[in-house]
Amino acid sequence: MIANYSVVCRREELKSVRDRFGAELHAHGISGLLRDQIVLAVDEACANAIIHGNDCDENRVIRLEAELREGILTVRIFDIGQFEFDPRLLERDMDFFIRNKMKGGLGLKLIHAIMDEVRFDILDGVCVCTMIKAVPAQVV
Amino acid sequence: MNTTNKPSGLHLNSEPIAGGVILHIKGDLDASSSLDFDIRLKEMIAEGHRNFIFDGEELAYIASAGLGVFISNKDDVYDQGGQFVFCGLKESVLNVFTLLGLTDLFSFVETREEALQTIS
Repeated sequence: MIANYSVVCRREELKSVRDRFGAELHAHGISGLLRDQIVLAVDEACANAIIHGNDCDENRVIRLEAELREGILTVRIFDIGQFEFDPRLLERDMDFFIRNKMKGGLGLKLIHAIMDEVRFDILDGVCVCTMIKAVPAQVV
Repeated sequence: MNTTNKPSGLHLNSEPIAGGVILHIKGDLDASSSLDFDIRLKEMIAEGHRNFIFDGEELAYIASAGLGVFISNKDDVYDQGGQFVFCGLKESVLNVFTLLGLTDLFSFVETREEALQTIS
């Protein structure tokens, strides 16, 4: 297990999540630009969960789990809350975001650009974001 | 030079130039600090600045919330004949712009001198 801990739903927690998760990836042989991209995807998913899913309620927590098995990195973020997202935004080009002065949706576009698979499920009544990334053998 | 230190850990130094401003950004531009940054950038646009050079030599990290600040303010600047020029970005920061296909929308150069030439 690379990571298994809770994060209080405050925006200010995001930096410590990035620092901690980045160090854990590095300790497991994942470094450089690949590590930076995976940390970005995890940061974006946590930010969505904290801000949109849990309204930055400091009485709530999300849980971050990650494991690396046979070159496959699986990251799960539990209790991401429920936030409305139009999946058609993923197909929109950047001109659409600029024309409409949009900020929302960019994080999910980044997550999809970085990770191989992204899923949103309900497990035991809890909303979970699962992100999967194959890690090249030479970096593991 | 104007210096603004925000509790979010983002440090901004602004340096007026003809027709614009050089904004030195130090720290992380994430979902926490981008709120203050958006307010500051809007203030500078309202003050009449048109050309913005973002010196990112000490910008350690950018998330989508940071990109969103540039995207949502772009037209207000470009419609007035101004532009956003980024210089000195680290590979990991530039890569975030690349991932979303934003490198054709803004100008990216390596040094402040090149940035100044771009807007002159």
